[in-house]
Amino acid sequence: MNFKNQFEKAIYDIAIDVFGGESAQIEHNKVIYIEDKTAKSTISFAGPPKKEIDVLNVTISKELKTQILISCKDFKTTKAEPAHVQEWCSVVSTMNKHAVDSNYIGIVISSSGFSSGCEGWASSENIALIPPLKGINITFSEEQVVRMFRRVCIAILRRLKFPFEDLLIAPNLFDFCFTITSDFEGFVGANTSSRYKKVSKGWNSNFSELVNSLIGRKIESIHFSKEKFYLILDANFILSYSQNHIEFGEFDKPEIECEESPLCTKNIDNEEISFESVRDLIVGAKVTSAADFQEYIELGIDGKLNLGLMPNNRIHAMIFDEIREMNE
Amino acid sequence: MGLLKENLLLINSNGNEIDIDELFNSYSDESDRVLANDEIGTIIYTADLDVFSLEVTSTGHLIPKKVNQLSRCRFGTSIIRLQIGSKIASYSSDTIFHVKKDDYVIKVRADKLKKGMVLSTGEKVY
Repeated sequence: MNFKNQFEKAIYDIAIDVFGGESAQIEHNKVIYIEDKTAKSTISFAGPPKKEIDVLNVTISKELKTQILISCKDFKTTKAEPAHVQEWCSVVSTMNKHAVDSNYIGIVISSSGFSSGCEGWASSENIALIPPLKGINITFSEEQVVRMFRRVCIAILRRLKFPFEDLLIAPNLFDFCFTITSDFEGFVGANTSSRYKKVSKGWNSNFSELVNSLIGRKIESIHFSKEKFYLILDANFILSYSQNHIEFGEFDKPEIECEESPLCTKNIDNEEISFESVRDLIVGAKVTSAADFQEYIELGIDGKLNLGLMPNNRIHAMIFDEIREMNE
Repeated sequence: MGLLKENLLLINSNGNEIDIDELFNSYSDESDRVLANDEIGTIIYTADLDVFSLEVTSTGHLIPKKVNQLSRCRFGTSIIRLQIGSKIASYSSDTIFHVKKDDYVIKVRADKLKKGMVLSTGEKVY
């Protein structure tokens, strides 16, 4: 199989991976023919019934006789323009118009996005655009565009299990692919980092998601093992913290071996306190706030204390009632 | 994209409210109904289910509308508070509105709506 560029190869690999080994074929300068060659409307000096195109042709369902015709645009610095979308609209609509018993749907993928004006052509002709046009100047990386394509392929494959014919009517396929890809905007702006990870999924996350999923949860237990703190919260939620990593999320069964007792201190003068006493203070209470100071994290517990999970295996608790008494 | 979860009211054909989180949690990752479930978020297919969203009209009436897909993203876009017609609501910044412009209707994102614009439904942006 010859590929014009790495982008085209990445798209082909995903199509093969999702739809199966013999589903996809890529051809350059391919002369395509319509099924009904006798149609009068196709007689012209150039164009249908034969036309040369670069096409990735994917059979998504033999039962429904449906194929996706994909056009990959890898312009690096410039965006794909309405003319590129118009060309594909023409190819797909001609193929459908003169198809005997097949259905063709079209996707145009551009590694550098689309210029304004493409959307009108695509939606009226039911051509899906990847990445989506979102009405603002947002740039998606090539890697993100490839990920969008995989997401769309998986969604189409699963959507095939349900009535599919409605997607063949404009602008339903365009809208469907827009829905599948539009949430990338929030993801791109989320600034995720490897410091925050979702347990079991391994996904990068951020402080905002940590706070949203942590606040209001009741603490069921706290553990320390192998230089890592584990906070078990209600509804099978876990927060683990070591100096550079914060992992959180729903879990099945946490495996905490070789439990140890960290050094625990409290209040302004760093008085020593036992790990058991810290546990008694926080178990049953709710997390009401959270802060990440990079060197350590601090959780507000029910407005009664701040629990600092510190480097060098230390816990520091600021117990508000005791501090108030000391001040008085 | 679209109305925030807090503004989205789902009901069945009997008029009973549907818990959105419960609906999402009732399908495993492997279910064909789950069109996407990854780092970006989750999308489920609901066109064949008894799920309707309630939309508020400018006159305060509620109109049920069939929901084909439900999306729950991990990281939403920013939130904008808008008064459109007589109702005030929070929208994600990428919510799309159809706005009248001369003889045409154009699509405008929530964060690009301006005071005085008139939607295709006749409602004015304040």
